[in-house]
Amino acid sequence: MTTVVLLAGSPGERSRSTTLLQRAGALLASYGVVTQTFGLTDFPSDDLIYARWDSPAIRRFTETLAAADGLVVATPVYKAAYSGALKAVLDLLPERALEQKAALALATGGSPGHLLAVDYALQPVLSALKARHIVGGVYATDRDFNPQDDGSYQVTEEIDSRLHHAVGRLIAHLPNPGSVQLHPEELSRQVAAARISI
Amino acid sequence: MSKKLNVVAVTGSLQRPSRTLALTEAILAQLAERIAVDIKLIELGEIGPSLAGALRRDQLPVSVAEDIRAIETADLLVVATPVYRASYTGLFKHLFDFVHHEALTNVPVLLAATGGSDRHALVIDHQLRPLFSFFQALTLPIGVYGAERDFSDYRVHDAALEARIALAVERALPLLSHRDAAVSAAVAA
Repeated sequence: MTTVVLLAGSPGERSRSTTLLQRAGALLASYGVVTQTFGLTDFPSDDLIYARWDSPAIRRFTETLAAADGLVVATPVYKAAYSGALKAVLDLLPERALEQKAALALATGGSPGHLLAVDYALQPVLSALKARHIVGGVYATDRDFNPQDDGSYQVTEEIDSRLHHAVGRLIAHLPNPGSVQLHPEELSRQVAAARISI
Repeated sequence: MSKKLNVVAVTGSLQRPSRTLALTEAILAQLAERIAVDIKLIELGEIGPSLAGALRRDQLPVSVAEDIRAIETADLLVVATPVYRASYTGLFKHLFDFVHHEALTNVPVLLAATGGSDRHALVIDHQLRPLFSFFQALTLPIGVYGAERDFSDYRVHDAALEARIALAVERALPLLSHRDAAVSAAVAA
């Protein structure tokens, strides 16, 4: 079974970055990847401040991640970097937590000017956690989201297409693509050629 | 300068004793030797418990809100963080996530960090400096990085590190001044 952990780094309930994460999760699931989602509210703040590695919440996260093949992390860009609250969660991971795993970073910001926060701020942290592959991420701005009547967001076709590509890259680099229903290379080819919609 | 310089130091360590705190105090002592300063020291380990639970500024207790206000009105910031995962700590970033994005314009910031070895020294220029560049702060050219072996009994104990601190302060001096009243006014507006 191929599993990927999804980590939402936004403190907001109505979050654009979490929307990207959920969409990536749905795409992964459609290819037979099992996903498990964690958000900031899954971690008691005392566990974060006192670095309680062995608290039930932190252990559940680290053990789930240890057993997974990959990680998708999503963050809003605050002050040209990832959110501090997300980093507080990543700080509690063991030193080589992403060894032998593939990782994908998703981020949202107010303007296109902060795209490089993914490459220069977040990805170096994933690299420090020894991720085996960090595949090209997706950055979206406010205008890429259409608010829906129910309070949720819908992403534009362009962003959806980029998420398709990113998920294809992630699947192609998972160390154990066993349960993926489409061969990664075939998936990447299809995505590149036809921008398939699912 | 006739009036004392309003210096606010933020130290990112969560435990005591702490090398990061020791480094911060050594920098502050060097500053106090050279110019008249009023110093406020904010320790993440102290404010952490009330900071970590807040996701919006209105959820912060009054004391932490006052600390943030102090950061936003400082003449000089001295910031120091231990290196976690090749960057500043999450809680350090979480504190600055609450700071108004225009409150540090042109404010000099002395960057400092501590790590287990010299291998993470670039954290200053690759993680801390971009964060304060975002704020349009005046990040001072010389940052100070201390590795574990530069300390003894949680005090700075290395001639090269002491010299680096002295140099950082020396080079900072011509750039220090009292905060332009216009900056504070712009933030308050």
